[in-house]
Amino acid sequence: MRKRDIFSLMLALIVSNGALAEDPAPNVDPVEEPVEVLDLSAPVSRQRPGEDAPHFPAYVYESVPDINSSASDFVPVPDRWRQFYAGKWYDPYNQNVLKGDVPVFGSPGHEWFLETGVISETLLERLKIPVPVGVPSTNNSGTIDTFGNGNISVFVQQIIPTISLIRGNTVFMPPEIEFRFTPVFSFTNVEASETGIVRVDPARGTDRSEGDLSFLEAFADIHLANISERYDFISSRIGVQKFSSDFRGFIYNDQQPGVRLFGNWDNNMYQYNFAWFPRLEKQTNTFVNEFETRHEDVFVWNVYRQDLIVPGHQVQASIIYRDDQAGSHGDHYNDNGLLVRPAAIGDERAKNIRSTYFGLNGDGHIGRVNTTTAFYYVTGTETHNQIAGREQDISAFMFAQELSYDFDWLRLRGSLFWSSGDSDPDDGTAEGFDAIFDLPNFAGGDLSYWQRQNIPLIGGGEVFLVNLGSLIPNLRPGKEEGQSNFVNPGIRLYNLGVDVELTQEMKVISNASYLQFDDTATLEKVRQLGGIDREIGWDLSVGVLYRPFLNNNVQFRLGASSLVPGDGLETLYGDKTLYSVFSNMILEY
Amino acid sequence: MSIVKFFVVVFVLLITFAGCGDSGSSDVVSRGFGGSDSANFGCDGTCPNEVLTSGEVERILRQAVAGAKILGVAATFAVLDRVGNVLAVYQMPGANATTTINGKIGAVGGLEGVTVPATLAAISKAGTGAYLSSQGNGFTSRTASQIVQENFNPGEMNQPGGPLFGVQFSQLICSDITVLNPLFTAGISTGSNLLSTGGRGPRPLPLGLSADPGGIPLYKLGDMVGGLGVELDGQYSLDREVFDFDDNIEERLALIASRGFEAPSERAGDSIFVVGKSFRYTDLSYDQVEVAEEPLPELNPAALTAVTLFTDGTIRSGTRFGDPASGITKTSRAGVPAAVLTDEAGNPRFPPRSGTPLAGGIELSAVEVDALLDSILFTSFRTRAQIRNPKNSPAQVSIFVVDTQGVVLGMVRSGDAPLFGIDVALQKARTAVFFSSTDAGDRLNEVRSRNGVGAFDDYVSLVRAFLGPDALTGTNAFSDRAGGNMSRPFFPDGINGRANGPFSHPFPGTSVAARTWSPFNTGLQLDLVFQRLVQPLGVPVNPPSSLPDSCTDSGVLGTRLRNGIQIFPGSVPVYRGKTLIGGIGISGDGVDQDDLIAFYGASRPGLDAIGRTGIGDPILGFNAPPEIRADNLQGPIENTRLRFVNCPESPFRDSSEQQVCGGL
Repeated sequence: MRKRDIFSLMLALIVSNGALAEDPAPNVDPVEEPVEVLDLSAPVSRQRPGEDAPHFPAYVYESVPDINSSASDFVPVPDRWRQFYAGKWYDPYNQNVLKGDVPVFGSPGHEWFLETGVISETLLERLKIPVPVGVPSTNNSGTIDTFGNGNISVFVQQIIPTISLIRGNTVFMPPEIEFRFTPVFSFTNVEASETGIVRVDPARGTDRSEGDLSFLEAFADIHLANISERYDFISSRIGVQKFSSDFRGFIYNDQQPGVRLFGNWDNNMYQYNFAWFPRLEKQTNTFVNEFETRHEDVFVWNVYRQDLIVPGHQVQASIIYRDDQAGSHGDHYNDNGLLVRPAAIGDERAKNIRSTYFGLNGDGHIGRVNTTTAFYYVTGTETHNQIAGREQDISAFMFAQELSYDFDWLRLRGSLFWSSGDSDPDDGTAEGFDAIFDLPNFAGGDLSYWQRQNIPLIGGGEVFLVNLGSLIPNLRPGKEEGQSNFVNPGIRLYNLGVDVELTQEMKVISNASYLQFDDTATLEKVRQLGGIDREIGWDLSVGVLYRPFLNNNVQFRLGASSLVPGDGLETLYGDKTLYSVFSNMILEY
Repeated sequence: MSIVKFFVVVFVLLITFAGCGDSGSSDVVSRGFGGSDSANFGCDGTCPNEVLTSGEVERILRQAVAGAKILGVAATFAVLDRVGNVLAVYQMPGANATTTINGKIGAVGGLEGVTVPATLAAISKAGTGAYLSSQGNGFTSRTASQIVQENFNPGEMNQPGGPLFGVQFSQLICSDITVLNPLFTAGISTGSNLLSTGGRGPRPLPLGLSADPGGIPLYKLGDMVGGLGVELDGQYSLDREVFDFDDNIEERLALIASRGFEAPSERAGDSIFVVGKSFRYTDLSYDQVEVAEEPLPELNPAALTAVTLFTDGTIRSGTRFGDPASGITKTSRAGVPAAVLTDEAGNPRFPPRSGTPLAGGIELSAVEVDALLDSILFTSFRTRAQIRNPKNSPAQVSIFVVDTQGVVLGMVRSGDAPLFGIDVALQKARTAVFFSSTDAGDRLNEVRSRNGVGAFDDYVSLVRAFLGPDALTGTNAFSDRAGGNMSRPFFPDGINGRANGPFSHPFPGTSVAARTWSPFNTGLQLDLVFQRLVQPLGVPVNPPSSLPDSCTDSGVLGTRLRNGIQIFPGSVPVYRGKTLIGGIGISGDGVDQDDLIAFYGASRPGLDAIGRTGIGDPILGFNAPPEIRADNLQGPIENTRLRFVNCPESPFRDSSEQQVCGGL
């Protein structure tokens, strides 16, 4: 199959998968659009230094000769952008006006480029989590115990188009200005086996379908200054933007409106960020931003130093300050009808949080050993913790370390994650570490069961033991809308992993993690249950990444994970093994 | 290097910010804990039982008066012992003589707007502190407020109603299980109501259990010895807004007066969690209230008030709980520490007996009743308590077995079970039996046609429209959980905005109905007892000249619902095959635990566990066949059905089993 046909097919798949077009036509051809044709008979003058710029014909790709099919070896082109122009709008691998390869307007030296893309992500998942039966009503008769049937099916389709408008010679120097807009169309369907799971009202059944339109990015990136001959720079980014406060997303990793000043100096030996994110509320089920404030501000300052300790290893120091004043703005219920602020646990009284994280992170390699390190200490105040029933002084830490070593096509990984737990929920000091909005890529990431599922803390409040996309058992009612909670059991995770590049196209990622709570005092308190063992159990997962065309345009991911409960989890939920199986298709243009 | 300097400045600013966090925010407050750390003695139900002496009662009253003087108010105080003997009622000169019942949600009907003597309110509040508490848990009337409303927590939308929804209508004067003191009934015809001098309980509470903050338990050396109630504001109400911290003057006075008799902080409600939520103890803590300084003011003898049926205006000492003189005598059963209700002579009031004869001789035999009591008590001892500290204590409950006519066939209690459960367990057992009976609908219609005082809705038509024409004809086994589902102002339970269940009035504002729901106007539950509840209260006749023998219309119902119905979980009807032969009622721990103890205790494995292998059905024990249980009945709204029982997570102390009820 020739490349071009592959792209046509791929595009057809994208189109037929989403709501973008009603009529999936495999050979979409934009010829109906008016095309200004460059008059090739007219003399084409080259740009020369010191001379006024000649008149620019409109940058319309059809106006340029296809050099591949030209009879002549020498075809004059007006500028360097068009030297290798192949001329098909759906081909991102040659010069393409939609991919920022050819200016769309502007004047020499001030060209504007358009960069577009679209990603379609399709997820099918079947999973088993512990769920409670409905208290007011159950789905079936004979349901007379607390735990119900936890089999759940999930379908998610996301379409993420993106449009950027960039001014500047991006290849040679930092762009002067960029406007980017990335909307997201998200559709989810969840089928549970018990009522009260997908909606709090059992009368609304066991299925839920929901579609949302939001945006992942909507920002202007403005280059402020170049401060050295090698283009060390100061830049700023204003608007909704993705930002991860460290290498692996342990503390804050989110798309939120913000103002960010960043840059580098000393020949890129240092980089820094200074950012403020007044966060937005999120949709409960699709996790996308809502157009409503979350009453939480996050301030990040960090600095990176390259080649510290040894060349190839960079170190980041950071301070992150968070001011969550949601407690002063009334109750908040999620889209399914559950109270999430204040969390429906303990005395359910409102709280505000001020916390400061001090972090030291490392990433890179020492010799042939790849290493990632993270350490954070957090201090601050919870004006009232629901579990403790009183004000809290926060004092907690987190440590993560990953080492890996590559043997040709085989990578061996070992990692350790430790977030401190609270040993005495009543003492006024909150020693359970919690992040702001973490999305860690660590110890298997979203392939692992523990990080992939929201596991409800049944009988312990309307909160999750651990939230989707997080490692920390923080007893939050959803990471998106719930507030951080520093009275929690904490976790110790020991992970071994093997990544195998079976072929160029196929990679297998496997992980085995042994999980323990750091201290179960908090769980014993909220469950009114003594003697909960620290052992969570074994999280075993395997994932396959298949990229049939050796690129990211078509990717398939298959994953299977299971959590084999240890003594502590058995006390909480019983001895059933929990599992998840998913398939994920990503198409990208 | 100005950039570096800039970031140094930012760094310093951020550190300063971090320090500022300690100042907190002005509108979100914090506090300490309920009870007192110095009162912690680690009691778990096995500490010796103490006595509240008359001297201590006087001290509490003097501290109360001192507190009232500090606050510049006049109030009515009552002190009760653990079994409900009124040890003193003290009404300060100038105190409000009456108080008006107000559910604060604009409900109409029932007890809403009824004005009652403040002394009765103070007694019910003190009794609530005493009756809900034990060595393992300290609850107050504020706790009661938290657990009787339409959502738990009140104000948290879409959560099921309070776990003790309806408990306010228990411990009534008209109950046949409570005992009146003949010293205080002069001139009143008491009918067949049980009378006993001395300190024998359980005594009734005039307004049932109270949800009006200002009633707290009293402790000595870790033992719960009684309760204190304060009434002064003229409103007999509840707390609708539990997410704030109230500065309630009645509660403030109760704390000032109770110093030296504080609940252990390790037992106070806010140290105990159910479904992950902590109980409210008091909104104020001891370190936030004034201290009554020595010398304490002398009591005014004229303020020591006589209250008909309850006290003659003297200060008394309490009884020692568990002694025969308290009416609740410690014993053991099935190898488990236990207690039974005893009479003047110290003999059990309800030794196991056989049920009223049924066709085919299938009524429960005395041996079967004995086996059931063994099995249920043993199950309770295995069961992990939900509402007690320390964690993993055995559940402590009151257990009743009744026959098809509501006659008590036997009872037993755990040693330290909270006292309210005696009346409630019997209510629950009788309720399950009644709703499972073939003539339930007919009898209710008859009660309605004879109803004299207060309104009585056409509940039978309502429930048949809800469940179908077979409802209340004996085709299904109704537990209290099932009946409770239909007794809530929203169905499904707790889903705000849904219409009411057929045994409940509509929630205020959702209907044009003449009568609307509040904890003081629940529906069928109150309508059944309304006339005989208000009669002794001086409403409308004051003082009462005679007391009713039964809380319900005994002309129709006989002995079947003598102390009224209960509408929160903790009971199962008992069957032989498909024939109803009685009921089991449990009260005293979490409602899921109460369900478990009733259901599992009646089940085959429950009976087998104590060696009663030949008793009951070889598969079901005494439980209803699964196909007739109420959870087969669907509500009128799609995807909804009634519940039968709900057994809790991690139910037993001696095993890590989960899901122990399924399949039984």
